[in-house]
Amino acid sequence: MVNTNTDKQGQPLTKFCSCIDEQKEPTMEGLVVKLPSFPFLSPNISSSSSSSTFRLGFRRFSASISAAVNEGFVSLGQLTRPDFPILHQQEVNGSKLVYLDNAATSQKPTAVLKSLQNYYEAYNSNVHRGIHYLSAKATDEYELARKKVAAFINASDSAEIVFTRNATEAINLVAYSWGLSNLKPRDEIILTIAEHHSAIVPWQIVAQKTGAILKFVSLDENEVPDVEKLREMISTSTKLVVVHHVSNVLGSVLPIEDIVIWAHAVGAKVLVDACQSVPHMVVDVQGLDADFLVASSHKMCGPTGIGFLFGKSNLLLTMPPFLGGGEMISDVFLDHSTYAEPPSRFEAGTPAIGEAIGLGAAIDYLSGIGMQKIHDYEMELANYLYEKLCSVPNIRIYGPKPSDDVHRAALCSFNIENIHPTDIATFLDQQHGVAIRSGHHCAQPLHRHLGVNASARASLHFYNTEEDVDNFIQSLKDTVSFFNSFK
Amino acid sequence: MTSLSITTTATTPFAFPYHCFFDKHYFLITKRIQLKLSRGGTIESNKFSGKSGSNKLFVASSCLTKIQTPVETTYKQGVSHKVQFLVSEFRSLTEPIDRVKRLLYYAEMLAPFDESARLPENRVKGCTTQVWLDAGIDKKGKVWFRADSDSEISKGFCSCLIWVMDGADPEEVVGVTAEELVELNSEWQNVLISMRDKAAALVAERHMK
Repeated sequence: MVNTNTDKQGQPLTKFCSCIDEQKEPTMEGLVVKLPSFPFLSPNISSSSSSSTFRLGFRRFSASISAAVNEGFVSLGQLTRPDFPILHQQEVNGSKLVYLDNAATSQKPTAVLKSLQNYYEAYNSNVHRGIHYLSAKATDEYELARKKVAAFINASDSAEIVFTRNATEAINLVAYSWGLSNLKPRDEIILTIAEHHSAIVPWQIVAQKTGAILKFVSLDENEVPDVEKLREMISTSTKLVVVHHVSNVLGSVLPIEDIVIWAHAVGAKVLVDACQSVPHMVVDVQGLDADFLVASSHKMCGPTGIGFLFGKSNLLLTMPPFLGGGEMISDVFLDHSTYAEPPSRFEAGTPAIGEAIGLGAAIDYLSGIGMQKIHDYEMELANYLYEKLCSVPNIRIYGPKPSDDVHRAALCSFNIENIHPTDIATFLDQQHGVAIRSGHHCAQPLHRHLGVNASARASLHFYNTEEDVDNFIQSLKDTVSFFNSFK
Repeated sequence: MTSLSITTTATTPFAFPYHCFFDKHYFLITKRIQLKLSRGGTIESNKFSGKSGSNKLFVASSCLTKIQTPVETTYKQGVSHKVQFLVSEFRSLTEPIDRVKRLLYYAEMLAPFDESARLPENRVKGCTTQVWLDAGIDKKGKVWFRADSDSEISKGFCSCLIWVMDGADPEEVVGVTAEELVELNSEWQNVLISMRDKAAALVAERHMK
C-alpha cells in the first residue's frame, strides 16, 4: 500500500497553520512562515565560542512550531526552505529553480554559510600546531566538529572519526591502508553491482596488487541487490563486504545489520557506503556494528571538500598510514619516521579546517530538526514522487516498488521510451528551470545490467516540497510532449 | 546558401507547400509558405541555409507552378565561413530553449548512419550521450563525415558540425580551432576534436601512401 500525501489525521500536508503569529509572505508554493532567529547555544560549545558577539542565524524550532509540523499544518519542506538562500533567489532560464539533484549534492543553509564565513573572519589559523589564541580556538572548533560527527552517527569515541576530503577518499584510505596490509591472494571481497564507482574502483586496484578476488552480487526480481545470494556468497574466504546503505540509483535500502552479522560470523569486515543514508535518516554505527562507514559532507548540507571515515578503534590502530606528511607523524628522522595515533595517523597535512567546522554546523542544523523527522518527511515525499512519476506514460522507474515492507529513498532514476535522458534533463532545465541529473550516476555496472547507457534521476531532500514534485511532473509531461511532437 | 526563385502564371495570391531537397539525404521539414504573387512574374523566396556540401536544390511541389533554381546563385562556403555562420546563428538565439529547438530541427536532417559503423573506435570520447563519428576521404580528396547519437540534441549539433566539415579539405578541418566554437558547449567541442583527429589521421594515411 503506497502512502498518500496526507498526514496521520488525513489532512493534506500542505494545510497551513493559522495559529502562528509570525509574518507571512505569500509565495508561489503558498505561505512561508518566517520564524524568529535564535542564537544557537550548544551545550558542547565552550564559552569562548559563545554567540554573544554575533548571531549565527540558526533557526530553532520552538515547541509550537514543532507541534505545527507534527500536526501537518506546515510541511518540513515549507518550513526549512527559507533557510536555503540559493533556493529562493535563483531564477534559471526565466523560471524559478526547482532543485531535484540532491543525491549529487545538497544545498547549504545559512547557518553553515555563516559558520564558514565566521571561521575565516574570526579565527582562521592552522590547527594542532600553534599555541596562540587563534590556533587554540581553531583547534577546539575543529576537534569539536569531529565530536559532532561521532555523536551524529553514535560512534563510541571521536578518535574513530577520520576526516577526509570526501567519501571516495575515505574508501581509498581503507583500500590502501587496511586492504593492502590485510588482503592475500584468493581472499574474497564481496560487493554488489549497484555500488558507486568509488566503492568498486579502489578495490579493483587493490585486488590487482594483492591477488584478492572481487565477487559481485546481482539484483533480484524487485531490482534490489539479492540479499540471499549475498548471504550465500559469504564464506571463510571472504575478508571484506563493501555495500551501500541506500542506493543512489535504485533508492533501495540494504539490511546492514543482517549483512554485518553474516560477515562477522566468518571473520570478515564490512565497509558501509553511507553517502545516501547519513543525510536522510538516523545512522547508528554501533547499532549496525559496521567496521567502516563513509560519508561526504556536501551531501548532508555541509561544505564540499570534507568527508569522514568511521573505523572501529581496534581496526584503525592496526592500520598503516595512507598519506604521509605533517600531522600524521610522531617523530621524523632521515631514515625512518614513527607515526601518530589514529585519527591523526590518517590526516596528513593541513586539513580543510573551515570545512570541517562547516560540517559541524550542518550537523547542528540537521540535529536541530531531528533525523527521524527528516526521514519520516522524506518517506512521504518518496512515495509521493514515485506515485506521481508512475503517471507519466512510457516511463520505467528503476528499483523496488514502495510498499509497507519496502521503503524507498526519496529519489527515482528513470527512463522514458524513445527519449534520451540527457535530452529530458536539458529541456527540463532550459524550459522549466528544473534541475535533475542524467547519466550513469557513477554506477556504470548497474546501468549495464539494467540494459541502458544512462538514466535521468530526480532526488529530493527535506527542503523539497510536494509543490516541487508537482512542478517536476508537470514539466516532465510537457517535456515528453515536446519531444514526441518532433517525431 | 541558396535562394529559390519561383515563376508562376497564377493570378491570385496563394499558399503552397513544397519540399526542398539539397541532396537525397538532406531535406527541410515541409513548410507551408505564403507567397504573395502579383499577376505572373517572378519572386524570390526566403533564402535557405543549405546543410549539405551539395549545391543542387531540388524542389517538389504538388501545385502546378513551375519552379526554377538558378544554379548561379548557389556557392560553396569555406569551412571557416561556415563556422562563423553557425556561431552567429546560435548567438542570435538568446533563449537557451530556442537553441534546443533549433538543434532538434537540425537533428532531423542528419543523414542515416550505417549500423556497422557503430564501433567502439568511432565513439566520441567525453560526451555524456553516445555519439558515433565515421570519416573517410572521397575520390576528390575531400573528407566525408557521418555521425549518429542516441540523443536528439546531440544529433542536432552533429548535424551542424557535419554541415561545416563534410566535403571540405581535410587540412581545413584540422585547422579549425576550438576557440572558434567556444560559444557552443563542450559536447560540440568533443565532436569537433574527434573530427579533427580523424581528419588528421586520414591526412597522415594519405601521406604514407
